[in-house]
Amino acid sequence: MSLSFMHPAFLWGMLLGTVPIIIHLINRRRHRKHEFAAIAFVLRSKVRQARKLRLRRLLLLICRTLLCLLVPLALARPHFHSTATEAAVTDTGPAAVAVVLDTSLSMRYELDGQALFEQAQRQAREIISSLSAEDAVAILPCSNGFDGPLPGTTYELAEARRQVRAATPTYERADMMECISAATRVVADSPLPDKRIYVITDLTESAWRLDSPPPTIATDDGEMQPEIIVVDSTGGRELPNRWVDELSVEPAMALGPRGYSFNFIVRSSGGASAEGISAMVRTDDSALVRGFLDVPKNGTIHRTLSHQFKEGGEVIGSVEIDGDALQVDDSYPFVMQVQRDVRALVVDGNPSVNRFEEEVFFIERALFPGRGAPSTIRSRIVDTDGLARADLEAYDLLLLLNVREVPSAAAADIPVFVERGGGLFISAGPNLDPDAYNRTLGNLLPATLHIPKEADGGQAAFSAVDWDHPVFSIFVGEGREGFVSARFSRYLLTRPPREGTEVLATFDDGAPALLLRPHGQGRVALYTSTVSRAWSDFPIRSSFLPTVQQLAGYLSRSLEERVDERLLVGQSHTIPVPPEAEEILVMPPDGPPVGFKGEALANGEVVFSGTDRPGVYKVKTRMGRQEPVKSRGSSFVVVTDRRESDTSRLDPSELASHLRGSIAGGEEALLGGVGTGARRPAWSWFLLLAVLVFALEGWLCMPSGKRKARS
Amino acid sequence: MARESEPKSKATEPGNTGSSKDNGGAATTESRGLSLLHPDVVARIGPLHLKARQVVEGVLSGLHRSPHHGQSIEFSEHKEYSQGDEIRHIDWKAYGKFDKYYVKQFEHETNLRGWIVVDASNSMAYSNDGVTKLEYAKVLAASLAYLMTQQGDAVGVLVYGSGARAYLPARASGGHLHEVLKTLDDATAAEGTDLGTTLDFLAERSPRRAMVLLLTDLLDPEEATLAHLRRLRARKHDISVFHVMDRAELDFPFEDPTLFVGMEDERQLPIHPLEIRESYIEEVEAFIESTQRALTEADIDYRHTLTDTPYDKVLIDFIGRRGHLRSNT
Repeated sequence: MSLSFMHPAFLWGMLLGTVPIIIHLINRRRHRKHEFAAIAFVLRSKVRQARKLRLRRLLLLICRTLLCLLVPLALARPHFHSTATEAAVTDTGPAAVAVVLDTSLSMRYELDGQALFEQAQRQAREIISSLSAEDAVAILPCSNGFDGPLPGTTYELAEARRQVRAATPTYERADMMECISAATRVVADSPLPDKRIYVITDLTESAWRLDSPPPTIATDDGEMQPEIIVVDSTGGRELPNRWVDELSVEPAMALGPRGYSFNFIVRSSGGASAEGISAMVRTDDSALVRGFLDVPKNGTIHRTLSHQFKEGGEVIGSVEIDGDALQVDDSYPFVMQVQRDVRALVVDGNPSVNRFEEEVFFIERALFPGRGAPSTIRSRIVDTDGLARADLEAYDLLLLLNVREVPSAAAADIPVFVERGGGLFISAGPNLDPDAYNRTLGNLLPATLHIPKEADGGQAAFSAVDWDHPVFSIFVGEGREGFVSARFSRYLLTRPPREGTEVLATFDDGAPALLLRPHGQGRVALYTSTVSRAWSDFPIRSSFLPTVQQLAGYLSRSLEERVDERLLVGQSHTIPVPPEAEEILVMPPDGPPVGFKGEALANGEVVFSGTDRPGVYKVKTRMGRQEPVKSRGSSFVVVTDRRESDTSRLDPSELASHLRGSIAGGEEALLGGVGTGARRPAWSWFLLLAVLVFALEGWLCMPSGKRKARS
Repeated sequence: MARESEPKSKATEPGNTGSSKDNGGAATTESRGLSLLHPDVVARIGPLHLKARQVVEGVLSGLHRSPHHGQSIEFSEHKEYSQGDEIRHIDWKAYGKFDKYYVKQFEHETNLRGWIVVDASNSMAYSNDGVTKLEYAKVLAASLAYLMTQQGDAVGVLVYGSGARAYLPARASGGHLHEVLKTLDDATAAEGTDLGTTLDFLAERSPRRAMVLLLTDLLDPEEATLAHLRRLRARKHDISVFHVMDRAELDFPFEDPTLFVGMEDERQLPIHPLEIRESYIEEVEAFIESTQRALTEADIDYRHTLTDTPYDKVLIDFIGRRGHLRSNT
């Protein structure tokens, strides 16, 4: 039990308690001298009364001193506090109070079956109960600051309690200094003279930036520091934790097609080292692969689990370890596109009895290397007539190899095919009729075709290659030298590239060699030389095979689909809007979908900022009046900031030294937990006691005869 | 002035009827303020003999001064007039008051020897507000001497402190009164108190039966004082003790913190008077009561006399009481 005061200035009045003693001492020196004949009677009376007199005098002195002490004490409006609150609550007068409630991810940590946040809510309610009617309070559920307007203080304590009840923990990272800054602004706006900030937090080290100075309030008298009381919601206990960190998914060629390795890190903070921790990769339906690992105390362990998928397509899953007190970070979600079978329609524009002269021969060898190198590409080879009869909806990739002209029957289907996501590859050759292409596929082509050109000296080579592009990014070092060593005797010139066209490589003279242009959801690539040996030796170069495979994968969108885009909780995500989309629906991991339509789609993209929880967010697109369908490769992953998973506790002395000067009572007060008791007024008891003492003093002052009569 | 009540006994002096506290006795000369014989008034009169004369004449005028010169002043009592009583002895003043005839009766005694013993110790110098106890005692003693001389009695004086300081043998001559008054006038407060030695001194010099009038505050540290008085009484002396006290010694009216200092020794005491007033009063009253009882038991006349009491009241009271006692004996 402790005592605190609303008007401590009145305590100076307790100095009046010395007045009776001083008067007593002065009176002892100020006796008037009187010669008295009958002094013998005086002496006898004194002897008779001595003990009674001494007691009465002592009682009177005590009464008067008590009276002088009790009245200022009562005016100072004392209140009792329970033991647990005594260090945390040091109120003075009417104060503007801000209660910062840590809502960061780590507050989901469970101690004794109860989340820290629930404990923090209870502590916040007790702080509110300890306030007087003259205090104004603001509740600030906060993890790393406020983007919007700050709440103001209120005298409605019931409203404050309601706000505490309504607060929920987030999955965000904590920045308590930012929260304290916000709270300082809140109390600074209040006209009440005293400013006090309670910070209820788990005191994890990552939540405090001790390199920034404590916030201050500008006043007429200069800068003042608000009183900051940090309340430890853990009760000083350690928070051991393990979590999955830094997941990456890579193709595992050793496993064959659709083989992937999941590389992840498991870290731990606090507690003891753990052995035989289970780790597994799982999807919603089943566990794909499982392993065991030993996690050292405060250590890190790298682990790889591999798995070969049987089928291609989007896979949503997570890497999980055995659960602990903070379960959110025991899994790491991912979404990946397992390489699908690419269905390719190869149109041979120059069938020949000598297969080695055909473009198809080299393309086939590049796309299907042989038994030792299984491929996910399934192809069908047709001639120009076959193209006219083919159903393009059944293919992902269309390769026009030295085709003279596109049959009129297919001329209308090819643009639709590309717009809906198909990939189109056009290679030049002696048969190709530029005018016919310009006429039939003019809107699709990256550039208007012109005329063939003999290379200068018959030995042109690739130049100005965009090595960063996914198609060429596989070439590094000697691989690049091999690529540029190809020689070209002839190639097709083009008009300047159309808007949106990327020139991935040119020839020595600057003529485009490989052009790329998106169209709708699909892509069109134009290669201005031949994929046979007619105009070049490139097909027999070692760089030809990977270039063709990369190009096929890029055009069929199987390359970039393995790129796993991850966001942190709270980060916004930009979603491209297809031209004919009527509505975009974002489906959070749990919770209702968020829709965008109408003007929100006008910019061709929407920004989704509701990434408030970790997991995989799916995106659906509704075209016209059709049901919304899942957009290929549009799902994205939101993960928690793993720094928040490090629940290492801050050294209290370090925090105390940082905030010193703004904390009453030093380190002990800083870490005092708020307990169960509420503040109870005590001044009325002191006042009552003062009245009783006053009455006793009056009775003692009464002549003894009257006193006897009264009693 | 007060007709509303009659004397309740023959021994009651007419002058004591009515509100004696207020009027100081019927025999006094009344004024709208203090009595002319009030100690404060008398104190303003010059020499002691004038004071004594003023007092005695005032008393005698109130008593309708007796024409019996040469007779003792031992005034006995009043009795209701009956046939055969001398008309000249009728108290006309009493008749005026009570509409009945009262006759003054005197005890005729000749050759009376009187000793006036005055305490002149330091404690007699005390006065809280007014005359000191010694001043009062001196005027009272002078008045008594004057009165006795007027009656033709022999008067002697003994002034004492820690022993006899001034002594004048008893004589009845007219010029002796002057010596008596001078001796009294010369008395000043000094020394401590030793009444026993003084009484022994007196006993040696007064072997014959005499009247002893002792004026003292009885603040004698010797507890054997009463024994000495009893011894003196045993020698057939007629003793009257005037216990002279200042009213402050009786009421203890002090309120402020006071350092009380003894007047005959070094004793002193700082105290808040209110704290002990009740106890003090109890102590003093118990002392007066015990002293009075002891003296009465020893057949010694005890007169508690406050210094603010008018002299005539004391004298008339004394005269009346003496007569009453005489009749009883």
